[in-house]
Amino acid sequence: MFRKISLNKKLAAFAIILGLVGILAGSPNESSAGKLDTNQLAIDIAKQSNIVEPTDLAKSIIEGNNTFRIIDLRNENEYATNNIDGSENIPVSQINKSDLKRNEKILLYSTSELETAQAWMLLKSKNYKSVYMLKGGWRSWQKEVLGIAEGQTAASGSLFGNKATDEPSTVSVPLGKIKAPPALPVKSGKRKKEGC
Amino acid sequence: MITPLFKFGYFGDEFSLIVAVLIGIGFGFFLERAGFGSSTKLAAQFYFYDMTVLKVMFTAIVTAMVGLLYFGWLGILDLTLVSVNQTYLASQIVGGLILGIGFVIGGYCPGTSVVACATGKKDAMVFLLGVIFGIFVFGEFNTIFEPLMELTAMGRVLLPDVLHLSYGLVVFLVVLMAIGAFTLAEYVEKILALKKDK
Repeated sequence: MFRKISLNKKLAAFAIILGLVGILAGSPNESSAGKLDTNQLAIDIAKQSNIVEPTDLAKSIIEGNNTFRIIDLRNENEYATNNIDGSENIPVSQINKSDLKRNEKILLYSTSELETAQAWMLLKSKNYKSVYMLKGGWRSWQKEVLGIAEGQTAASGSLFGNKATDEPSTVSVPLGKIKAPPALPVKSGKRKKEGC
Repeated sequence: MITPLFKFGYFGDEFSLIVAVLIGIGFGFFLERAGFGSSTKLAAQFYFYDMTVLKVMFTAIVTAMVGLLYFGWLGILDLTLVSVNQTYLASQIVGGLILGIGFVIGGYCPGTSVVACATGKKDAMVFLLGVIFGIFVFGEFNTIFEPLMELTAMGRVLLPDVLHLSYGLVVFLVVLMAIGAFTLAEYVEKILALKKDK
């Protein structure tokens, strides 16, 4: 009986079965089978190789060799008030729907370091290869780079306080208009696992 | 190279070229074996008495699509890293028509003309010269073409997003479409073969 069916029909039936199972399989983008190397995670955490100093980041932005895709996890209002130049706003609630790529070098920051750490873990658990956190988060950036004490807001025109108002800067700091260049493409050939 | 393997840096630029050459040779070999190194075979598609081109192309689409779905689902392959050509709707319709007209006139598409060149077909060599000339003209006038192309830029467009259907359902529908097309193609081939005999 089975032998009488032509090869074409068998192949067609096989394709339909694969397609049918495909409907039930769910989204291929949300793979649950991704392997998580917890040992590697532990090494990263212990060595703090997933942490970036605000001053280092500021230096690389000024020198124009920032390779990070900088993600601001705070809410839209906070982001609109002030942010790191060249950063993108992806509130932590939206991070699952973001267009972040798994091979990108991602740097996370927020006011809350706890929130940043949880977002880091979330991305790592989804197999994002290189995710980093800004040490001390937004507060440290304000203090160490912008030189603003806690509670104060940044003056427009400050070096990295990218205030989202249109009024011209009253402080004549020429560097205030510096825009961070877009993140450089990650050199794929040289990516090495850190900590080994 | 646009495979995720390369993007994750599992191998470097030099090795990726070797892989590209191997994949290219494989691609060319199977095109030739499918009979696509002959313009008469390819032109037959447009007279509907030999639908091999349709069958081969649709089979390739279905195989790759089902493979990507399952590999993505199993976590072997990261679909977000698979390069998807951006959609420029109007420009791609115009481009497709130009390519189609060239295909009908010359009897080859760009890939098959290279395959046919390798087996020494003279018409393919002339065709390939035309391809290179076209590339040259396009490159020289790119400053004019590019703004036109950008007019209908839509970015990365995928059927599941446009249709608001799940990924698996789209795969299933395309499989059904392919089988429908194959059945229709066989039917048309049979009718035309009967007419020829008469």
